[in-house]
Amino acid sequence: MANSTKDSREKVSLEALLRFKRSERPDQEFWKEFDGELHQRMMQTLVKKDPWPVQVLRGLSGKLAQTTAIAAAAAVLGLMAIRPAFEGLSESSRPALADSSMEKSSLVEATEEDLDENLMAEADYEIEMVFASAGNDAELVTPDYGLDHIEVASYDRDAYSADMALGGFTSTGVASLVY
Amino acid sequence: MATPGSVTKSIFPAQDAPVSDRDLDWAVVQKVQAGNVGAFDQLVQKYREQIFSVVYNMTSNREDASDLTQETFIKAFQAIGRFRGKSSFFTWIYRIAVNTTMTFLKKRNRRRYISYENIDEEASSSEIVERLTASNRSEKGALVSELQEKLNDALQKLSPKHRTVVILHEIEGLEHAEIAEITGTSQGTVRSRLHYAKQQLQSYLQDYLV
Repeated sequence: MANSTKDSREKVSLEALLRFKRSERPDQEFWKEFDGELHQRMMQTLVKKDPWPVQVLRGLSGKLAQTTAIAAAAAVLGLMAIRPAFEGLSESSRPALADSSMEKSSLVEATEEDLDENLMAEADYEIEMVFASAGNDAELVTPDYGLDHIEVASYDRDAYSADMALGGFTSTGVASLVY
Repeated sequence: MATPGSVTKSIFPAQDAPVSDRDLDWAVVQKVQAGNVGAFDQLVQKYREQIFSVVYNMTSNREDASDLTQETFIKAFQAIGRFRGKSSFFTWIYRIAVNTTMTFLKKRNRRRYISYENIDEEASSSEIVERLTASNRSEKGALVSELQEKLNDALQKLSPKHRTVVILHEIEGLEHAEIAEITGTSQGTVRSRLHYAKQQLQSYLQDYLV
């Protein structure tokens, strides 16, 4: 049966037969889905993530920077907490310093009763406000500690004043602190 | 013969396409390069059917063809900044499609998953079907399915290189010079491959051929 059907066929050229392939066409529904998928994939390429080695490096560098910043802050706070204690020890071991002119000037308004050893040490390391945006005029003592100032020990404050006034971050409200 | 990339071109290659078609594409490409990402959609709408047709005929699988056609446009989109207009956008994107499909076929190796595309309803009343069958409607429907299977089988028996040349020339209607540019070969090689491929197809499809 099949052979008889084939025999009855009028034959065509190869080119004509191949052109028949052009009739294999997707419908409109296919193209709607195609466009949707393509747009989605193109959007993904536009917001494509970095390759994994770059992501790992970025993560590591972020954590490293964070760790360094925390360590630096801890070191500064540690120094600020420890230094007065050491200085207090050195002061008590050298009572002659209590008579120095600097200490006298800082305690000019203190009464005679207040001049015990403990008060001397406290006065020497009195917390002083250093304002980033001001020069020597900023050496004011204010009761509250805003975001635009930091605390330093007032011991030898003349040595700190240059750093405070000439710091490169003055406009941003951040003071540099150098020991 | 046909100038590819015609504005009026759908799945059938246009005859006597306007000379400015390449310039029109280049203008759209420049828009995309200037940051108008949406303009790329014009190129997608213009060439998607042609690209799909080539890829589908090379793979005989509509899902793979859909995926590879999308991949072709994504690659073109990603590389469009480097397109300098020395060749036409048409041949450039065809080349991307052919290379992408060739790479896919190498990976797919010997495994073959057939998933045929729908046959256009008009095919039943086409000249070829009319000539190959009697007027019986049910016989026509059977023949259309049979033809689809036989043609796809025959094409898949060819090597990917020979298949590409046959598809581009006989189905897409491209010139030898254009095929040479797309496949990165000489026109002589294109003619040679075409001749050999047609000989092979003649033997595979002899039941239907003169």
